[in-house]
Amino acid sequence: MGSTPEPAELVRQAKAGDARAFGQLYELYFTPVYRYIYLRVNDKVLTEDLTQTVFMKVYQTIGRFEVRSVSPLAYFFTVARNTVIDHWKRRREIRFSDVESDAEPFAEVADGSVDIAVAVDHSVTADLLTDALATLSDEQRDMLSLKFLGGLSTKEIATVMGKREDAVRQLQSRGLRALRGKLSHLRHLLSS
Amino acid sequence: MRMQIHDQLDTIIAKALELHERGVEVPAIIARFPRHADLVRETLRDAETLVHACTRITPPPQVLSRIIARLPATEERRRFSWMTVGMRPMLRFGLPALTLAAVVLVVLIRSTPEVAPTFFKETPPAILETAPVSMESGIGRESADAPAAPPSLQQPAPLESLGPPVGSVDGIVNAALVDISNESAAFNQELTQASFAVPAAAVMSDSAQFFNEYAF
Repeated sequence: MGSTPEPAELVRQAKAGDARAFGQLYELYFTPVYRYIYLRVNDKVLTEDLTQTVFMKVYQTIGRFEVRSVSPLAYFFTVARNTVIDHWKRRREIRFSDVESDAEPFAEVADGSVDIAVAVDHSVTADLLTDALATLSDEQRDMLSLKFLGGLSTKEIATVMGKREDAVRQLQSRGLRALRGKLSHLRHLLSS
Repeated sequence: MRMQIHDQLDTIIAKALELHERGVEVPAIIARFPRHADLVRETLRDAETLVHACTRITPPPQVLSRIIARLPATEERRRFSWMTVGMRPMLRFGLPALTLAAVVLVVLIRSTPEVAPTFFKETPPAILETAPVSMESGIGRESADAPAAPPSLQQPAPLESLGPPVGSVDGIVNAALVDISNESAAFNQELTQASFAVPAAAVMSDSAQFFNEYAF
C-alpha cells in the first residue's frame, strides 16, 4: 500500500481529471476547513453547507489553480474564507455574535455514533472557544482561526488575507494579547 | 505613551511567535525576552490552548460521507442556479419537462416577432443552454431559413435570422421530443459520472431529495 502523494501532486492529478486525487485532497483538507468555518459561523448545519460549497468551488476551479503561486492548503482556505465572507454578505444584518447556537448539538448522540461524554466535552470546548474568539475583531478572529485552527504559516495567511507578513504578525499579536486571560476556562477543561 | 507600550508588547509577541513558528523551543524563546517572560510564556500557552481546543472540533464521521454524497446534488443545483424561484417548481418534473417548457416558450416568443428581440437580449444564456439542441433543431427542422447546424450559444445567431417558426406545430413538438429524450439520457449519464465513488443509489436518492426541495 503506497503512501499518499504530496498535496501539490494530488492537485496536479486532480487538474488532469483524476477524481480519486480530488477525493484524497478532500479527505486531507476536510477537517481543517470544517474547523475554520465552524469557528467563523458557529453552526453545525451551516458549517456542513459551507464546507460543501468550498469543495464544490475548488472542484470547479482547480483547473485554474497554480501550485507555484500558493500552497494547496492556502488555496483551500482562500476559497473557504471567501465563502464565509459571501455568506455574511448575503446575511448582512446578522453578525457573528448574533448567530444562534446549533439547534441540535447532540444529534450524533441521538443516532448513537458519538459517546455523550465526548459530545458534551466537545460542545463545551467549542462554545468556550467561540465565546473567547467572539470578543475579537473580525480580522483578528479570522487571522487566529487560520493560524491556530487551520495550521497555516504566516506567509500563507498573508496570501489568503491579502496582507503583508509583518501586518499579519501584528494582527496575530494583538489578537493573542486581546485573548489574554480569556482562555483560562478552556485551558482548565482541556487539562481535566 | 500607552500606544507605544502596546506596540512594543505586540512586537515582542510577534517575535516570540515567529521563533515558535521556526521551531525554537519554548524555554529558549522565553529566555530571549527575560523582562517580558510572563507575557511571552502566557502568549505561547494561549496559542497552544487554541491549537489543542481546535482538535476537539471534529466533524462527526458521517459528515464527510454525507457531504460527498451531496456533491452531485450541489452540482445539479448550480446548473439550475439561473432559474427564478417561480421557475423552480418545474424541476419537480425533471429536465425533459423543463426542456419542453423552454421549447414551447421559444416557439411562442418567435411567433410574436415584436417581443423576440427583447426576449433574446434579456434571457440568460443558461436558459437557452438548458435545451439548445431541442430548441434549435426543433424549430429549425422545418424552417427553410434556419442554418443547417444549430448555432453555438457562445456565438448566438443574429436576431434577424430568428424569424417565426415555419411548419406545423405537431412537427415542431415531435422533433423537440426526440431531442428531449436524447438530452435526458445524456443528463442521467452526466449525473452518474459526477459522483465520487458514491453508490448510484445514493446519488439518485440525493437527486430525488433535491427535486423534492423544490416541489411546492
